[in-house]
Amino acid sequence: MSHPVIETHGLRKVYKSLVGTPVEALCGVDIRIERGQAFGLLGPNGAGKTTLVKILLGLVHATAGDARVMGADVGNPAARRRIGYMPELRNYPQFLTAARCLDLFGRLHGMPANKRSARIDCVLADVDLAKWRDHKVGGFSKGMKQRLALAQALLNEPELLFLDEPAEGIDPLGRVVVRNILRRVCERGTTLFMNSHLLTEVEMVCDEVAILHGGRVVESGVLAQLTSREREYRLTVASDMERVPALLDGATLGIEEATAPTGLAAWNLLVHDRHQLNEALDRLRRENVLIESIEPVRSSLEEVFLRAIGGGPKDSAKETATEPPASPATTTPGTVNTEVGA
Amino acid sequence: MNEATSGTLDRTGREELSALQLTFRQVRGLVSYTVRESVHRWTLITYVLGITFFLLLLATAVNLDIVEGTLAAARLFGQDLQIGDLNIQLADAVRYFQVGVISTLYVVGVLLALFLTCNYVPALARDGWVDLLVAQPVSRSTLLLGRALGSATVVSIGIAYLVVGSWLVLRLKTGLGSAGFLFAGLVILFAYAVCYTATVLVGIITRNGPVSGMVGLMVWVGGHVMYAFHRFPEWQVTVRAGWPRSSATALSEGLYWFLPKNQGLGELAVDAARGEPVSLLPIVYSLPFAVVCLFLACWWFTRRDY
Repeated sequence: MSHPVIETHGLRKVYKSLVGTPVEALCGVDIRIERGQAFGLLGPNGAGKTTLVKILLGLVHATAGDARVMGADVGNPAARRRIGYMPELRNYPQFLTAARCLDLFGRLHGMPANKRSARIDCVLADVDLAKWRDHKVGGFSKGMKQRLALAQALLNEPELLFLDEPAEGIDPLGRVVVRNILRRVCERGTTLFMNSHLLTEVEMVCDEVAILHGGRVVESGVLAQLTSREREYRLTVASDMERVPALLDGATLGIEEATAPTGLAAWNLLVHDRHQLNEALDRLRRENVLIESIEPVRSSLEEVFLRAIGGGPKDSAKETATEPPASPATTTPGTVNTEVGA
Repeated sequence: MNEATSGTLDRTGREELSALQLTFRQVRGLVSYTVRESVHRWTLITYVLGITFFLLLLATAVNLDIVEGTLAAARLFGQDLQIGDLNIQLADAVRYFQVGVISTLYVVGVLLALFLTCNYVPALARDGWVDLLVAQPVSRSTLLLGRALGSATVVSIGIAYLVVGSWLVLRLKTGLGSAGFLFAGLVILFAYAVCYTATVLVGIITRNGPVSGMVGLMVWVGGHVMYAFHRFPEWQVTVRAGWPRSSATALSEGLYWFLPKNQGLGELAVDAARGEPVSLLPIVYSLPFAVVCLFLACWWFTRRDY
């Protein structure tokens, strides 16, 4: 039986101060993340995302509930030997060179000198900072510091990688570099925990998400399932375009024309279930209509997000029928491993 | 311990280290980082340059004429210093010199060291850096103590350079120089370290370098003041200003026993430099203060959210 990489039960955090009212940042969060997942944590500002990450890393103490990472209590430093962390705010000592900075983190991980040196060269090459190895961090641009932070997080070959706003403040080219590195890391089997409010970044890297709002998990699951619209499919045909609406008359609950590339035609079909969809397709095939593709219509993650936090119109998805978004890097439809919090 | 030596590997390919080995590597890393920071801040460079200047002066400018073990004449920058008919034995002259160096170092050196290292702990605890460090597989106590040890290492480099350098120059010029002089250097380092624990405690709570430095200086001065009240109880009558005698005495005595025995440590260092028998009690009585401060600092750091 495999143990989850991250598991929390009834996690609560209340920030108290001598003056002012206490602030409840997390109100009973239950999550479970299995090995090898690319997990995205979403939420508006003040939702409790950073607090959750910090509790999982032992930076913040939970008020109630329990949290385990890599099978150990979050307060146990030994568990962090297999964890990498790229924080949102990084304040590296300006006087250290990139290599010296990584050397300190290597020592804190207990890496021997020979391995440390080899790994430093390796991760700096991975993030394209090899030629800046012996330059002081103080002279680095924001994007370079971001890549250095990623190198530091990858230094110990982590089995679990926490990323807090990894694409924040870097240009589109830098984002592509970071994204490609993260995809490679995922392919090696590393579990990814990404905290971001850049939905497109999460959509491109993660296969599971949870949306945190007001300290609670209000939506969670496999990204592909969350974004697919129930009973709505996009049909694209390559022949007999004028006849299709007539042929499908009465075979579906509804049909609506959609945009399609030149030479093709597309419709969004609303059906009861898969049987009705297949009967409709059979009807087209009997008439020798050439079907180019049939695929579920997906909402964008933004639409899912807005619905979840109640920040958008309930039926915004239907009103703004969109093109199916790019597939996530590693989509693994199946069981939903993330439970909705209390 | 050879760091390059590979130990056994766990199932994930990581080297299996005992808790002690891991802590040793972590502390080495933190000390090395702190020493680098002191070089960057010019703390260590200033120390080394200043001490080098003093040692060069001592080695080149002072000329001693010794006749049958007696200091016959002394010249500074080529100018005769009047020894007259004092008939100073060379051993005494060396002893006076050692006491002079140690006394100066004890007063100026400790204050300077507290001032120069007061910002190290607040710098460790700054936002964006402390959270990065705490998220590593290192206990918070190790982080804090490793940093404090790094500061003490920086200061010990300066003290060792001055004391050992002076001792070597004396040995080369006179053939004399007592081991007690070297021991006195260690006592001064200890006196600094004890006061520095208060700086560490306040530094981790307030994350403010100047405030923590001031507290370190107050402990340094307070230790001497409380010694005076303890040694001369009649002074308390002047100061207590209407307090009941018993509570004023209790407070004064309580502070005396709680604060480090700076006066006693100074006397211990001077006695050691003179080559006289010494009592280690001031060290023993000062240790609890350091232990309490470090314990409170670790406790605070461990329970705090970052």
